[in-house]
This record gives sequence, C-alpha cells and structure tokens, in this order.
Amino acid sequence: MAIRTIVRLTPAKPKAGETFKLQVVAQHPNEPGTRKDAEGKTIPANYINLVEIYFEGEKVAEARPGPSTSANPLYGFMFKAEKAGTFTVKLKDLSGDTGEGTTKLELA
Amino acid sequence: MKAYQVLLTLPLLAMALAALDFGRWYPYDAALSLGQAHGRMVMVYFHSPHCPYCDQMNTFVLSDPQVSRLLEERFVVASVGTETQEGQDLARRYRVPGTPSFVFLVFRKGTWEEVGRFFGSRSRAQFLQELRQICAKGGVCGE
Amino acid sequence: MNRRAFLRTTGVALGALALSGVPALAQGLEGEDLANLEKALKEVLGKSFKDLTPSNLIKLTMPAIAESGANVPAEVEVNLPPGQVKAIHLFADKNPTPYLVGFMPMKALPYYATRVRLAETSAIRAVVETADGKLLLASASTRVTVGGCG
Repeated sequence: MAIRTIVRLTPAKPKAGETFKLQVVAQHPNEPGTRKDAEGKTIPANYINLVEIYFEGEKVAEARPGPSTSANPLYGFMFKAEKAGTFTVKLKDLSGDTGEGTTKLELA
Repeated sequence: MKAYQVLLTLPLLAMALAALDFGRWYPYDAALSLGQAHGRMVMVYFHSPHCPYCDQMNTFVLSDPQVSRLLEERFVVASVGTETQEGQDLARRYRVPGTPSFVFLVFRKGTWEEVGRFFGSRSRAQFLQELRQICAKGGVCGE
Repeated sequence: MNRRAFLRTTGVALGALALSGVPALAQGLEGEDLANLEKALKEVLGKSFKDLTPSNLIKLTMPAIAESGANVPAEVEVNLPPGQVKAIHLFADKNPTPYLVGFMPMKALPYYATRVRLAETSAIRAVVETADGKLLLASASTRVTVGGCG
C-alpha cells in the first residue's frame, strides 16, 4: 500500500537566493517494534527508514530515520532557492511499502 | 471412539498450553481464572486507546525487558480497555480515576483481595520498583 | 481528545532536587545515560563519546518539557557552510534504540527537523560529521511528563 506523502514549501514562492523549508508529512504508524497491543503481544517493527529528496531528478538529500520517529511523521529540510523545478520525495518503510510526493518550486 | 476422544482433548490441550503463556495479556475473567489456578497475582491494567500516557506505557514501559520479564514470571495481566462496556463497568466497580490504572489482586481465603494500585504513567525504573514492592507485599515474590 | 491530563513531574523533580542538592544536577544533563549512548555511538559511528567535540556551531532545539513522549519536535541547524557537513546524527540517551536518525544534507542546507518518540526524560545529542572528518556534538534535554487521562 502506498504511503500517503504530502510535501509543502515555506515560503511557498521564495525569491532567488532565499532559503526555504521543505516539509514532508507522511501517514504512517511508524511502529517502533516495542509497542504492545491490547493482548500484550509486541507489534512488529515497521517504520519509514528511508527518506530521499530529488530535485529535477537529481538526489539532493537523504535521511535514514530509526525506530523512534513519531507516528504520522514530519521531516523538515532547508534549501537555498536557485532555480525553479520539481521536488520529488520518496519514502520507504521496513515492509517495502513506498510513498512519493511532489511539489513545484516556483521563484517569486 | 478413540479417535473421537483424541479430537475432543486436542483443543483442550492446546488451550491449556496456550494458557501457560504469561507473556501475553488476558481478558479480565480469563486472567482471574488463571491467577487463581496458578497462584499468581493479577495486575488489572485499565487503558484507553486515546490516552497518550497509555501509549507511552505500551511502547516503552510494559515492553521494557525487565518489566515484561517480571510480569511474565510472577503475574497474570488482565487487559481492560475502558472504551468497551465491560471495561467501563469494571472501571466503575474498581473506582479507577482514569487511565492508565493498575489494580493488583490476590486470591486469598476464597476471595479476591486488592493489595495495591496506582494511576498514571511511570518511568521504567519507577514502575519496576513499584511492581517489585507490590509483588513482595502480595506474597508472590518471596521476601 | 477527551482527557484531563495531570502532571506531577515537577513535584517529583523538586523532591529530587531537595534530596540530591544542586551540585549533582549541575554536572550532567537530566536524563543522561552515557552507557546506553556509548553502545549506539559505537554501532553507528564506530566512535566513543570522548571522540566528540562539543561545539556551539550546532544549534539543537528540543522542548524543555514534553507531554508524554509520543511526539516530541526535534530541530538541528549547523552554522557551517553547506558542503562542510557530511552528516547529522541524532541520539536519545534513554531510548531502547538511542539512534533517532541519520541525515545526509548533500545539496540541502545543514538543517533537519523531525518529531520523535522519547521513552522517558532524556538527554538528546546532535552529532555532526564534518567533511574534514571531525565529530562535533551538541546536547539538550527534554523532560517527559508522566500522568494520566481522567
């Protein structure tokens, strides 16, 4: 099942040379592998362990989160605006499920 | 006839074996039966799905290796979700102020006796210490 | 959320303060667990805590108090030119798995923000690997409140 992935830029339209934040929000339980269910059984680990950011097809940043990321996680990055283009964010969890979100960077 | 008997006893055997898994948690009635049958203290754990403090207990404290080992070796855990009707009735009967709550019961002289309780989340070290104290007080952990 | 949360960490902490006195607290961070951290540093970086150099070039922002540990914001920013930061690593001393995340900025600025789970009150570490092979350290501490829902 695809991981629902939302990508947002702040400010939405930065000026050339200005820094901006790229925030990713994913819909995922990020099971740490230590949580007990109502029957006392340990729920197996399944968390997003790879976050890749691409700009115009080129990889520009990578995060490898561990088991202690919150459910429905947020990942925040910062870039300097140089040219307009498309950001693609790719996520992957331990079970092999993936998510993808894109957003366009337009300069003010 | 013989085959019939085997068929009948197999599920019972399986149930008896499964019942010996004290690493898991049981519904209230099953936990009390097990506690009585095995001379163990019952920890009635009241929780609710929307309470972040229960989530914290489930994720880090009750799953801590030392905590879960002590529970498995000495206790029977009754898991009571207060979002169910049965859970609400039990919460009222035991007058628990909220979740997470832990009520400790020992079967003595033909009746269940409450030997301790606490309300609210705990750090792992504190929870472990309190479990040991209650365990000793209930006479199921030696002196 | 239908709950009235109660907090009593403050009372416990004040009690501890009265018992242990101020000097003991002045030394270490609250929620420090160097033995647990050391294992994670060895595993992730092959290094020891003593190989890390505290640096004020790293700004690690953690809340002083978090209500339960399920969703604690963490933010780190390194005041070094882009290209000089190879990786940023975050650790929580008290977590069963202390390693929170590894971030490789590549073409991004040396900044990372996320939300993490904390097992309990813990020291948090940001370890920055520079392009020239140094390991810089910044520490913070977040107190995770205990409580219940009525």
